[in-house]
Amino acid sequence: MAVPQRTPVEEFFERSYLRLGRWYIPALLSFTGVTVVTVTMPVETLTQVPLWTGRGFADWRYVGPFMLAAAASSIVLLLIVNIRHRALFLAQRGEDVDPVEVWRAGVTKGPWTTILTAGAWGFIAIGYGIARVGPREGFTTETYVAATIPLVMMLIGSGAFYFMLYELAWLPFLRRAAPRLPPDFVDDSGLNMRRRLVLITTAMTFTIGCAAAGVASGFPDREPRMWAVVVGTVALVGTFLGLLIGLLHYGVTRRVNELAASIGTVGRGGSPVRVHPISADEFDDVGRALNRTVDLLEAHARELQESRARLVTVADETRRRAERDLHDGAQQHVAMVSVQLALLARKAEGPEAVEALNAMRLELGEALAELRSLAHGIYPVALEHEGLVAALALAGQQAQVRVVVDAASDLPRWSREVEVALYFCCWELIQSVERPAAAPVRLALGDQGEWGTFYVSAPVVTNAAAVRLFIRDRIGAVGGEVSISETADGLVAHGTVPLSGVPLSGVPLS
Amino acid sequence: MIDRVFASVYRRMRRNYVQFWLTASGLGIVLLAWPAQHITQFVLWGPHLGDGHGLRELAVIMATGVVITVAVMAWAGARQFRPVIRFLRDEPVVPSSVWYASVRALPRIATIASLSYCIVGNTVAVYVAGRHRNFSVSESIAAWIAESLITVTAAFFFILVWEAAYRPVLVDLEPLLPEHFAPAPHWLTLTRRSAFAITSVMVYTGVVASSIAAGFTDREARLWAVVAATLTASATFGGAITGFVSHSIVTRVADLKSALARIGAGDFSVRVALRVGDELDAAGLALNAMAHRLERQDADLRESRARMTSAENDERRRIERDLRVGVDSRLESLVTRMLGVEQMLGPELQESCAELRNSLAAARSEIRSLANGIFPAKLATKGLGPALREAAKRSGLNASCDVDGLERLPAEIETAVYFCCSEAMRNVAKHVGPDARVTLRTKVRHRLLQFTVSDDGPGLSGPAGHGIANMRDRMRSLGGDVAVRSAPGEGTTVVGWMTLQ
Repeated sequence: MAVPQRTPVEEFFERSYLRLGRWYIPALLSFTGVTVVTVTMPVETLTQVPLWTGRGFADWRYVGPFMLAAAASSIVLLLIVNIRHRALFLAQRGEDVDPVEVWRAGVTKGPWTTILTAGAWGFIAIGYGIARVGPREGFTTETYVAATIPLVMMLIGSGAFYFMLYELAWLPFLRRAAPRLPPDFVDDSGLNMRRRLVLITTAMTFTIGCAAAGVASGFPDREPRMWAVVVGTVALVGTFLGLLIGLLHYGVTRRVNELAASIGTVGRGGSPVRVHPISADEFDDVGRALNRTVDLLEAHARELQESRARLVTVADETRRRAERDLHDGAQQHVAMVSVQLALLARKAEGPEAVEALNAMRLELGEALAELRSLAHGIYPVALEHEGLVAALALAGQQAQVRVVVDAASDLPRWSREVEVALYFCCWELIQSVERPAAAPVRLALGDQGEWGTFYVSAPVVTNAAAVRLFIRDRIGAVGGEVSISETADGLVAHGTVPLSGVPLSGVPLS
Repeated sequence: MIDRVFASVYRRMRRNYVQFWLTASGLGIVLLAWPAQHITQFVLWGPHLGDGHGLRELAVIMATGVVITVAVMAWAGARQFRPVIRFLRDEPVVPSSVWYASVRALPRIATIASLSYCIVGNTVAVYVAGRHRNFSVSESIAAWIAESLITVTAAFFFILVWEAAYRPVLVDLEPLLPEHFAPAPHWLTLTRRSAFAITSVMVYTGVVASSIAAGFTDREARLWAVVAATLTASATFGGAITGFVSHSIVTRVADLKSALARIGAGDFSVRVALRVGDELDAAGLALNAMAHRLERQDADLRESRARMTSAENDERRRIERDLRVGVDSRLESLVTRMLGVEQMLGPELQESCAELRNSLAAARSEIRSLANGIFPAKLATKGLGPALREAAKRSGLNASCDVDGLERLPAEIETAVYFCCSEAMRNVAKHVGPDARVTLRTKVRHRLLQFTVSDDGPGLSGPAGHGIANMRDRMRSLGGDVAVRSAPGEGTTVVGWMTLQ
């Protein structure tokens, strides 16, 4: 299966996972802590300083208390992650963890962990910070409320940002756990693709709206302020864009490509495909639908193929019975008549009567010959006892067509279905070659492990189209493959047949 | 919801659908997007709208907007969307050109439209407003960039609206597109489209919120302005764009899912409509190719199965005829000749003659019964009803037949039903015994042929056997089926049916 390329972001996490080993999660958490304290928190609060003071960015030191409180709050955050995502920690240590637990910790528990951690972080860091700024700037109650709301909005933005980042970070775990999940595993975090998209957009919009407005307010003069609107917005959007594209590519496009590749593989009749759940969203649903469809298609094709094979087997079985009846019943009766007729002819007197009886014996002989030749077409009884070579030689003799069978003397017998199928293919050719035949009908047999190979050639046949279809159907019904070509000198068919026999159900093969 | 609205508009005004949306987009731009953009910028540029200058400037800007809008919509309608309009009026038109006009033209139109608004509209606006406010060159450039950022994001919004609007058209168009229609991938891939959409929202919100916040001097008022502007931009513009983007992805993913389910249920005629030529369409194309291949494969196998059965029937009829003509008629002529020969022979040989006649009769009856077993002659000559009645008689069971009034049917159907009924009677003879009472019934109603074979035996205690599987194969290969009803003590009924074409 052509797996779509991983994005550089995914590749980065996968490589880190392999290189860092058991230090992967600690490294991830430390990185998060450091960026929250030294980048996210100061940048967000710095944009708000002009809005609080009305003196531009002069009071940038107000960022300090926020950073301090954010650093302190990381202890609580660590605790929450440790408790809720224990399965990932255990999986990293190489312990045998239930893949369902790993999957839940990596996917479905994410939203609530984010709400809890962002809540704790916001409560501690924003609460402490604003409590330090307010009294110095003479905040009224209204100012406290109005100043807190943008901070909370930006917190939602950062929360969503880290949530998405961690979804990517847990991927190496999920990729290893997903194939071991129960076949019809379904779990729902309530965060489907639509909500995810709304969440990303809302979160980023909140952050950018509040931050850009704060930056623009930091410039009291018209000209720098007008540039601040443009540059501030573009710069902020630019910082988010890389991550945004990464997320969209991972969350949407890659899944779509993966589906397209899987569907393409199924469509080309390739090896069975399984799409593993990885995100508890609509794509997982489609993946499950594809898995179910693959199963159903396999069952459907198998049923159709088996039904065709069964029809043939039942027909052959009926013919076999009819041939036996013909041999044991009708043929014996006619032979008996022949003996009685011979006796009568010996006892009879008078040339007229003897002549009439001899004529009758001749007629009876013709009837018996006809009966024998019909028997070969009904079912080749010689096939069972003497094998394909003898049965075909006999059939050729009857039809006055030379048949040459070329097979190694130590070639083992094949299953009855396959031998009968090959017999009737040759029988059909023998019956339809133009007479006098320019060349013999040839059959060469060989075997290659599980498969038997055959090569049939015949001089020009009269109803070639029908014969070709007959051979194709007959060989197809025993699960074999054949390619047939026609030249001016005749018809050539060669292919393979399975030696283990088509697994049949529903037909007594006694 | 979005789809329902668009679909209902489409149903009601199919012939003027494109014109309707051109008018609606024009009105949306002139009445909503264009004024909203400049009013937010007036706040940033200061003095407010209140004085007479502001209103006069706005009037000039609005007039420019109207002129550009009329020009763009007329151009799009007359040139770019022409094939779509012709298609909706049922005029002869190449289907793939309709697809290209309704899908690939959108980004092009949006690019050209937004360029016109930026280069003409925004330049006029900045010039008109800047003259009175004494903009420096640098300020004019900044103002123009801010304006154009909003314009471009709004243009993208209109692409999304039009994509949703054209969805019902594409669904109608899909069956007319050539098999294996696979347009080249578009530069506006799924990732770029979604990223562009979300970037639009971010840019729009950033510019609008910062422009409005900068217009306030009072601290509390400014803080509230930040909150209100951000929330409003995010809820209205952001909500609409995200709604369209997620809807277009989610519904198309759902389309894929339901198509897969239908394929799984054996309906290989399903095809997914192509929307924009992005990755989701690539998945749709893969799915269509898969359905196409499965459809062919399935038909091939079914045809092969039907062909083999019919070839087998033909071959058996031939064998049966050869037995009758080549063997039985010869024996029959022997019987006649025997009558002549008998008179030539003396009385001492009469006993041998009688023996010979008996042997001949036995041989003939044997051959005829054999021929009948290979292919019932009556089935070919008299049809299903008489053949079934004879089969019931031969079965040796206590059978009552209700098989009258059947017209002649295609040979393969008559043979299949005959095979099933005689197989069912053989089962009764084998499992219930020769004393069983059997009812055989056939009827055709509303082009549905149905047969039932029921007995008064002890009923089945386990699952149905091989005989049923063989009957089912025969009937299914002709599009029909067989069912068995049985309970201990209530006998067994085999019901088979198929639709007559």
